[in-house]
Amino acid sequence: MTDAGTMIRMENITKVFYTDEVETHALSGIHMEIRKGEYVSIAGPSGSGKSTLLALIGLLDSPSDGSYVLNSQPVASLNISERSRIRNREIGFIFQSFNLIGDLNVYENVELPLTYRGMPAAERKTRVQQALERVGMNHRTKHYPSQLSGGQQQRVAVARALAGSPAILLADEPTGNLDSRNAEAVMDLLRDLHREGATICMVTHDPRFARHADRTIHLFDGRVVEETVEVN
Amino acid sequence: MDRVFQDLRYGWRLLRKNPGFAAVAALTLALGIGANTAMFSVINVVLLRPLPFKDPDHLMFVYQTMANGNPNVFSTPAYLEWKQQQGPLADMAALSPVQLNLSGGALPERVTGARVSQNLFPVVGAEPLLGRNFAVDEDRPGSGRTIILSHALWKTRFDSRADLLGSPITLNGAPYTVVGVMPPGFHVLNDNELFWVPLQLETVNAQTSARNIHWLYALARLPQGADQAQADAVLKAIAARLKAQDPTGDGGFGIFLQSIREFLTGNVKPALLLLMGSVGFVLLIACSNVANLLLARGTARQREMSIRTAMGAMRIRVVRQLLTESLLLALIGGVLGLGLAYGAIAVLRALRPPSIPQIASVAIDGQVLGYTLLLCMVVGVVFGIVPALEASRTDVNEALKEGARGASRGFGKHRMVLVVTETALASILLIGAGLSLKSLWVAAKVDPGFDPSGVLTFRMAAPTGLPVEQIPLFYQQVLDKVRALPGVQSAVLARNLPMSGGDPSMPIAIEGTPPPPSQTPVVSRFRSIGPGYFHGLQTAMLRGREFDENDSKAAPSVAIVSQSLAHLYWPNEDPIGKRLKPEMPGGQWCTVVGLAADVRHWAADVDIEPTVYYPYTQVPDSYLPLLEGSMSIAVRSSGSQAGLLSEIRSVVAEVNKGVPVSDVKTMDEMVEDSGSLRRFDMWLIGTFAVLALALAGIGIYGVMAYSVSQRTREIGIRIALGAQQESVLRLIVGQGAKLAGTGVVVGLLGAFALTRVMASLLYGVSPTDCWTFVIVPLLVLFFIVLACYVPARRAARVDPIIALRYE
Ligand SMILES: Nc1ncnc2c1ncn2[C@@H]1O[C@H](COP(=O)(O)OP(=O)(O)O)[C@@H](O)[C@H]1O
Ligand SMILES: [Mg+2]
Repeated sequence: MTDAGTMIRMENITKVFYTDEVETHALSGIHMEIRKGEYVSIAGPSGSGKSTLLALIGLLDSPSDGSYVLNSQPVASLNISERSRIRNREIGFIFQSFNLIGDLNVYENVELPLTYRGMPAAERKTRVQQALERVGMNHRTKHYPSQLSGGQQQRVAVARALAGSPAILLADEPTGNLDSRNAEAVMDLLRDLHREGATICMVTHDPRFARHADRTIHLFDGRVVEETVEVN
Repeated sequence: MDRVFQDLRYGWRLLRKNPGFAAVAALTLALGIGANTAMFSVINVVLLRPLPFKDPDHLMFVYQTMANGNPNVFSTPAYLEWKQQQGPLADMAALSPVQLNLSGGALPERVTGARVSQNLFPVVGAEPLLGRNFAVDEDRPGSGRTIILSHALWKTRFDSRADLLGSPITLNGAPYTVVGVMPPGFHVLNDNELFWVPLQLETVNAQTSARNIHWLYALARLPQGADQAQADAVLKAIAARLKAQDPTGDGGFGIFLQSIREFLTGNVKPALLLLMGSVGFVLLIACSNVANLLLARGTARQREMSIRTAMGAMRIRVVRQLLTESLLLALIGGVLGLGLAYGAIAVLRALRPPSIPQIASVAIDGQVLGYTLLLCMVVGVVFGIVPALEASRTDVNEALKEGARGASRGFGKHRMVLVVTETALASILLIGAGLSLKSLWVAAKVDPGFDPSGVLTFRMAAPTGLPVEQIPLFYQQVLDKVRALPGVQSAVLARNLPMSGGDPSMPIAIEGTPPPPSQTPVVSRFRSIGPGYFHGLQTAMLRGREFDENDSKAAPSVAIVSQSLAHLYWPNEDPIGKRLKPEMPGGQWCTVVGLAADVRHWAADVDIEPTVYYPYTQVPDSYLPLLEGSMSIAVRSSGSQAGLLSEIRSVVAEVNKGVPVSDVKTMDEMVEDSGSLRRFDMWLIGTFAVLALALAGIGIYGVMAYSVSQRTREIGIRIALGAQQESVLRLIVGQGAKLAGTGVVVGLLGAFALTRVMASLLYGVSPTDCWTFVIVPLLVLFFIVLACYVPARRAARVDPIIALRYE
């Protein structure tokens, strides 16, 4: 039962890690659906499988079992190169530790995913400028990440995620390394993006920010234990 | 002292804790140090060993200058004339090489020695180990036969018998009284000199007293405190005076001086220095590699260093600790390198390359050990200092900032400079090797004018005391018997075969051409040969005929000229029937009966000279004793040359038991040994160049692998953002290629400047040969890119999840 509004559909997803003959069941029997334009937050204690789930959604990793359809496309059959292509076009990542590239300046960092698409330079330029404007960092294009504060770095990271107009933004504890003032600024930014129509899936511990989301999925020990719908 | 020990102990412990690092570093150094030690031990013997003469820097070989400006050994009159001039040459000594048959052993042996003037030993400052020098009386013509033996001959042929002094030994069938034995290693003209007999210089009515017979080497000692330039000036003044007295006399052309060191080693020096330079490059590359390893380790040890600094260690103390470690590493590399050098020398000695004279005495002695130790010290500091300074720079602030930058390019400025440097050095070496290769290739493609394949040559003298008129018959008998051997296609006789080293010249007069006005005689190369010579050597006869058995002494005098001579003197005319006359005592007008193709006589890479061939049977009586000296025989056969040699020995013995067969060589060997850059040198340069490239490749590989390990996170980010594998590959390979490219460009500039020193060794190739300068860089780039490919593949396979997990 697919419908045009579904962005992500996971059925019975399992992820098992094998390390030194120890099996870790990071995820077991996950059913999940995220619709276009939705803002979903994932919560749960440390080690409950949040990051693993996000990595599966973002095609950074493959499930051990189960089916995953992204934007009407069954993911299991994709090869490495197609997965890279989808990551590049459909998904925007925002990490806890920003993960900007130190040798590239702000402009180049934001431009990076666009260059992997082979987009013409002129188009890249408009996109990068729009994205940086959107996050309020267009006055710092020549700076290097080490010359920026944590909040500024994360805003650049958001711009990088936005620039390619992905189908979905994935954020793994985007405020984990930020003080509360900067954290709030970034969260406000995400909420505004959502209001403008972006689909967002975000991992967060913080109940204050979880409330920005339409709905929160609670994980425990690799299973979905509860789903709450926020009433704003 | 205590602290040094402490540093050493600590360094040793660290190396043992990191055996992989220690092994790679020590082996890399061992390759560099080993190659250098081996080359140095060669140079030590060939170029640096003290010569067996007193104050050799003041000892000069003296040559008279010819009308064309070239130096030549003295004629008897010129030698005596210059001795008469009061000046630097008043006391000069003379000598001339001679070969004699030594009997008494199982086989008669042809031994090389020299006729020397009585003052030779005093002039060079050497004294016999046993016995005495010749007396002045013994140096007068007709004053009997005395001999001084070399230590080697005394030891091998006469069992070092002390009672040999005063007793006679038999040479060329005549008794010679042994008056002395020289110390080990003493020699003057070359290192196979085994004896010395008095020169007994005749001044009247002897064939050797002609003005145009140049046969005397001369040695003079410059006065204390005088240098060569001063002596040159004095001699120039004397020459000017002589010219004023007699404008056409020899004296007016002056004198050429050459230090004895230059004489003995000048011809091998350029190639040896080139090889030494090459191994120097290899060592520098090895040092950069180890420095790179140390830099990488230094980053890992930053923590240890900051703890040391925090505990109050002065920076100098930290630097000292690190330098002690690198010196220790260099010493370990040195010990391993000595082992490698020992093996390399054993191989060299087994191969006996012609380009390394005295190879048998090359060994690792005290001096070589000293050199290696010194080298280790220098090397230890060279590769240790930058990493030491780098690692001791524990700027906590800086370190923190680096951390904050997160993913960075993964290597510093130093590392890049090192990689660029080693690529540049390897490129220079490879270009050098490429030029040598091309030079050999060009020389190999030069048509020498004869076919050396399947030809065995040897020298042989007519028996002592054989009447002059019977000499041709003797050679004829030997040739007939050799030609009858199975598999033999031809056997021919010549005084000087091509590429055998001997290349006498002789002025000629051309009929119908007025004699040249002054001292610019027509010079041509002089060959005396037997019947069937050109057919035997497969040299093309372009016109006319070659000599045959009918060209005897009684027959009309004939000659064959080379194409270049004909072209020089009879352009656009048929040389057949023209007449020329060798300007020597008793020389006759000879009718040209044949025109032969030009032959590279000296070497494939030395230009051809106009040449006249004469039948050896028609050489004037004044020259016949020279024929008695010895002739070469070239035997072309289809069978095994080793088997042939023993058969030749037995047929020669059938003709005359007392005649030794000497200087046995294949013509291919002669061709190979003749070039200025020997194939063996090429192999060495090539080996060093490949070693250099391999080390540079390993260096780049190491740096790129390290860089990739440092950039894992960055690469993980890129892959997460959708970078395709190819684009990651391109990123890393491109980074390596950029470094390599810079290195290659620097190398090209360096090679452009440096390969000029090779010019004298190259034939038919410019030191800036276009193709070499294009192909070699491409090769280097290709190889370096290959070396980067492995780490690049590792990078392309980085799992973004794992890379990003480390937060
Ligand atoms: N690559 C991996 N190899 C082995 N175990 C892993 C790996 N990634 C995650 N895990 C394990 O899976 C579980 C879930 O991890 P994770 O998704 O990172 O939790 P969270 O993000 O909710 O803190 C943990 O037990 C973790 O140790
Ligand atoms: Mg997590």
